[in-house]
Amino acid sequence: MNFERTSRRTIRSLPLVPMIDIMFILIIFFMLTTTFMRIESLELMLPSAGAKAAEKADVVHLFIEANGDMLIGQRRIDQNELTASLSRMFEKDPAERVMLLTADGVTMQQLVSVMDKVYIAGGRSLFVRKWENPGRKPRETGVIIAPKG
Amino acid sequence: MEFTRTRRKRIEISLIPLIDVSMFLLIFFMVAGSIEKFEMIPVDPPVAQSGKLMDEGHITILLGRHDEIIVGDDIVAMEDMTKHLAPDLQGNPNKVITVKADAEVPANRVIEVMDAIKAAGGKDLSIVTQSKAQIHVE
Repeated sequence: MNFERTSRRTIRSLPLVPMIDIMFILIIFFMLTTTFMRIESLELMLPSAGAKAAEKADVVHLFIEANGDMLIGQRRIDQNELTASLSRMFEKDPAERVMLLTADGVTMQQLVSVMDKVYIAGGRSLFVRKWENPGRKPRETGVIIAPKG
Repeated sequence: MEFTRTRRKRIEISLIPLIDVSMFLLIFFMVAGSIEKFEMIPVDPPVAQSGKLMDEGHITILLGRHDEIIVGDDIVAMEDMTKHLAPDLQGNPNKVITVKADAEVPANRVIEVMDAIKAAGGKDLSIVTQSKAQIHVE
């Protein structure tokens, strides 16, 4: 007698085609949703909350007014010559520290532009704080450090 | 006469190498890539030249031009910032916080946020910038 062995035979091979289908879908999904783009940013280091404020004497105060005008100490300074005078300052003393004081109405773009210029001019130690009443004790917030890489 | 019919032999596409390659690609994209984040509010970061390319930090804070503050996935009020961040930072103060503020946001508001991060115990902070302004059609 001769029996046909149909049922046994089929079990032997694993169904690969559905597996490949799923894998391709996953690959396409990951290819489309992945981004290798990294963000551009300024790296800051916050002083620890308990740290003593820097000695105020050797900090250069740079005031930013709402209309974009700037003062270094008491001296009013033109926006275009900011980079030049900052470079001169850091050439003289690379460790010079700058405190930025922003008035109400100053936008983030203005603040970042000035931080940018300080960094390009060579400044690596920068404090930022609100420009409040002159009577109030200054409270610094950010310290710029050399970005890695 | 009888010829052997070798022609019949079906050429099968070998699937195993195909699976190997696609498995490799799959694992590569899963490990190397990060899925693009959807941002709740449109943020146009300020322009700066000295920004360095780096990865996004552990915590992202978005500051929108209409005074919205979004920490991770939550909308947070300025007063609750420190409270919200403290549990995250207490365990690991070296967590990098990325602040993505719109160029139009008042600088003093960002300084308040930085104060809150400092009060919560954060140390590493990065402010997102862009090297060229994007043209917006509104």
